[in-house]
Amino acid sequence: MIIPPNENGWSYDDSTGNWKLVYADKVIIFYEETNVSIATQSTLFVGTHEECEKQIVKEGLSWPVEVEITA
Amino acid sequence: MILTNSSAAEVGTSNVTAIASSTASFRHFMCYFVTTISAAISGTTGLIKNGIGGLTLSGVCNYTGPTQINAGQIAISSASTLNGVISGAGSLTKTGTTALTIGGSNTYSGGTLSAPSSATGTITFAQNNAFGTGLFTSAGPSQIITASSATLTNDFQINAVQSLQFRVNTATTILTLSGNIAGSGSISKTSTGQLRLNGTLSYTGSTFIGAGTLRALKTTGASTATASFTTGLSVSFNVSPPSGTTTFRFFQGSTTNSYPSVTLVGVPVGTTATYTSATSTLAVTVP
Repeated sequence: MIIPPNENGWSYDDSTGNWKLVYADKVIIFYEETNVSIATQSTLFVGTHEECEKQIVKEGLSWPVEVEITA
Repeated sequence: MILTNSSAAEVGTSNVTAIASSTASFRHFMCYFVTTISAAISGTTGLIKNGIGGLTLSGVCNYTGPTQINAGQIAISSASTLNGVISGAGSLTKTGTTALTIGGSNTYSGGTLSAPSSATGTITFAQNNAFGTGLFTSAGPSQIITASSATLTNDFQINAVQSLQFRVNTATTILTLSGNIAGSGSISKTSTGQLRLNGTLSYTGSTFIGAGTLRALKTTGASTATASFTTGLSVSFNVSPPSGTTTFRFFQGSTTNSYPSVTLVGVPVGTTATYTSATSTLAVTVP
């Protein structure tokens, strides 16, 4: 489920035994199974691995893509 | 002058334009002045460079034997592949606009100078000790590329107005730099892999993350902040910073990317943070 932000715009979760998915603008910022707390200004989704994978598909999330640069 | 099958030979100021075939284990070059070999060098025979003068290999070099730089430097300017082990007290220089591939795990100790005339003058490597044990200096629009996870223990120097691009190909590839990065130039991280900067980062130029992940560490007080810069920024703490505001500065120069939202891992509820790209600092406020 998506953890709603507090009045300051931060979402927080310190549950154990879950996968934690953070994303912004359709790009994944953090995705791990962890018992450590997460505080974020981006969207925070917490659930089982299957639930997170479904969320990734539903939202069309992806890992950062390459940006070509010239030196 | 052409030298083959010799263990004690001398090259003067004349440039070498042809390489005779050799059945010996090595080609020996003694250079007291800058000498250029414009011919291609191939085959299985290795190369030994002696003398304080530079030896420029401007032809395509694809020989598979070892390269022993006992003194001075060897400069490579054409598209070449050196898969044999590079050893000795001398240095290796990359110039020109074409790619150099270094396939070996090397022991040369005189350092590496990357001074290409354009960003296409890349160096591709695959081994932990690709650049030997000496200092790696970027004196041009340098780009080093790997598709293999590796750890480089070299210190890096990025000269003024210059840049060093780390292209870490494939998402599962991790390139770890355990040495320090100094100088007034800038660095950039491209392609989908991860670059881990574990040494002291005193370079004062900018830091750009084009893709993948750049990981940097900063310890303030009892807390080590491990920052993963991607499209977003997530920072993990081994120990939460204490109550109040604690500042972590990851780079001495600016971060080209902006991170208006931050993700913190391992902090108490109510913790907030702000990343300032101009100073590459993270200010964490714990209630």
